[in-house]
Amino acid sequence: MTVLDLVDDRIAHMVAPRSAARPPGDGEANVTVDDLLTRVARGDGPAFELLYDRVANSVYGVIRRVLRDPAQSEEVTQEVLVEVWRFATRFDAERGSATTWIHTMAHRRAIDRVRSAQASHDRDERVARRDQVTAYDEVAERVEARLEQQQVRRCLEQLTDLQRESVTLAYYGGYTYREVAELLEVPLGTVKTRMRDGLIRLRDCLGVTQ
Amino acid sequence: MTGSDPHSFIGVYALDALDSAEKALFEEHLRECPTCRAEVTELTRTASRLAGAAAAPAPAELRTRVLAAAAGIRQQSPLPAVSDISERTRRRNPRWYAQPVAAAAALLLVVSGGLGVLALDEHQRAEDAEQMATRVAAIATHPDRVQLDVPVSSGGRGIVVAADGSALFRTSDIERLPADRAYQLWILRGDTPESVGVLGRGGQLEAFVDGVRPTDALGLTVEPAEGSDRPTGNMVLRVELA
Repeated sequence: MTVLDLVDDRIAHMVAPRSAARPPGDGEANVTVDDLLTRVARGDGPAFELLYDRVANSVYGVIRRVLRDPAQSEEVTQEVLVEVWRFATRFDAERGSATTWIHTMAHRRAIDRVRSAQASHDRDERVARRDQVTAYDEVAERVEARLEQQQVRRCLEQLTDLQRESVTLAYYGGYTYREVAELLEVPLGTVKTRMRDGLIRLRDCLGVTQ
Repeated sequence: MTGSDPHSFIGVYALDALDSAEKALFEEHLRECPTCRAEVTELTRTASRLAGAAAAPAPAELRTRVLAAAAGIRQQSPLPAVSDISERTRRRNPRWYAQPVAAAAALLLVVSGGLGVLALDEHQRAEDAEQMATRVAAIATHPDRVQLDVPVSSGGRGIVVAADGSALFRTSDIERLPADRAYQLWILRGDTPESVGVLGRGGQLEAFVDGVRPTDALGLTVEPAEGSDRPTGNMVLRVELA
């Protein structure tokens, strides 16, 4: 056995999704994303399909919001969701919710993509996008997504202008805090503080708890 | 980030608005600051609600593609299986939300293409091989690993996968040097480059590098065949680990 085989052995945990038909919907609507991810971690293919249906729109939506380009967004969404399958085993429910874990992966991946694109070209294009960032132009398909959107929008409206712009330019615009400071023409320290107290206010408004 | 209170970066971090060098520094701080971690968790959760609010209908054909792709991909073993390497490794990685891992292809390249020398060293004792495999696997699957792919100035590419103080380095088939020259790999830290070793005259070079920091860079130079104490020749590759 070579080192390579050993490495493979360490990494491998060969579980392909079972191609069974989706189980009848009975009760599945009440299954949490956390439960689904836990099942996915055991190689449960049908659970992965259900999980896909629960998170694909928000994953695609946030990536699309950051990247704008539909084709790239689709590509990155696919990468992220396949990684959810691959790394479901690493999810630790005691440290946070499955939805947050998945959204965080999606957002970071979109950010990585936008920054690497920025390094090579289209910085101007990104700056031009600035005004689109705060527009709520996406159509939410599911009722619960629409409710979520309304609640978040209502809470965002309770922030000061500077807090809201700092938070949304960073999160939806994919800008670093330095870029946000330049765009808003405020000192770096102010932007840092507004991002933090803006998120804290948002947290309280949304009732986010540990 | 130097000189300012790391706490003030919690919001910036939760919004993924730090650049990569600052992010690495902040994460160093997070490891030693449970209060910060608690706040990061809360604010990351809050930021995640912004993702939920951005939901948009994903194209229907994406579902088929994702499910088909997942069906052909192995799931990773849970971390504990890999991390008999050391408890320390896990403790130093308190973040539960894994950095999304770069493309599986890059990983496979490192793991399957990159271990020729290690794999074929028949003098290597079985336990050493075991231990090496465990460490390599730990880096290659580390949720927070950094994967970098940079050009070698004389042609070809160098690939680095780094996590938790160690790095795997390999090159594609690079230009062959005359018999009196060799490629030497260095850890570049401040003004005192530290030699990793002479890797060979060309072809696919590889090395397992210990004791690297996120702020280090790796450099590959052309040296006399026996190697040098300090880089003297042309630096054909330089890669920042941050």
